[in-house]
Amino acid sequence: MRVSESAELERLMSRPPSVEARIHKHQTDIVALASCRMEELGLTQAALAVKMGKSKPRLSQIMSANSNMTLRSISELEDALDIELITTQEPYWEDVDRGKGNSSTAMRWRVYGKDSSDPTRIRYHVSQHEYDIAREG
Amino acid sequence: MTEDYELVDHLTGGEHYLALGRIGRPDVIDEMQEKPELNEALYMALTSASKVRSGGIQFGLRTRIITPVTSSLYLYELKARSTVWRVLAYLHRSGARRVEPVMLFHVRGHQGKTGRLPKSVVDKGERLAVIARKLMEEEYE
Repeated sequence: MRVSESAELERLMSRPPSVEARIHKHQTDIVALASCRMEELGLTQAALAVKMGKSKPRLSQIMSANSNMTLRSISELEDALDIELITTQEPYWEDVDRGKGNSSTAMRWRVYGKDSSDPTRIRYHVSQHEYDIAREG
Repeated sequence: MTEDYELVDHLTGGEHYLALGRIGRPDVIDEMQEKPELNEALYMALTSASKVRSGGIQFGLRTRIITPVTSSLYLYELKARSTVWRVLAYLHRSGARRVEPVMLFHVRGHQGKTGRLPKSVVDKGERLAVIARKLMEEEYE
């Protein structure tokens, strides 16, 4: 067997190339996780459909790789399976006083997310402009 | 029959994807990767292959990640940029749940009014699936 390692393929697979591809990945991830959980609980799709108050064909449609699950469907699955299928990241809000004196410089800078890739830097969002500045201290 | 062909193991950061190709020529993954309009479908096909490998054939069928064509030939049906792409794959079973997808070739769009694959495509797929099975058996058994 020949082994092939291509930087282009690595790049392609490191980030979904389109929104459709991203949806497909999310959908298959959620369906796979839900299926594992069903197996763990010994639930068939028919039993899960009853538990969710849906018809089996409807559940089958929801749990298909080609559907586009709504947040409601995901939440209903999470409720029935007692599992978190998606984890959302809460924004990290922090008011930072950047400047003293007049009101234009004493604006409140809102931190909307910590940049985990570089702990010495932090991203700020001010009036729809993004700033990337060095973290103090 | 198998001497013109080889299995290619495409490695990308912790994952691997198998394809069957003619020796010295690009396989289906190379072909789809080289064409930007097929990158999206390739990403979806490889994501699907990864899930089938982890979850097994029954999981793949139940969630419609894969559609059976014959007993060993399956297809990934992927909608990318308003076009349906079908990637034919041979699923090599080894053990009760273990399955290794081998991508064979891709075809574009719905074929005919019924959306079914034409006989020539199925025949080509079956022929390549036989070769893939032999090479996989030689490799792993």
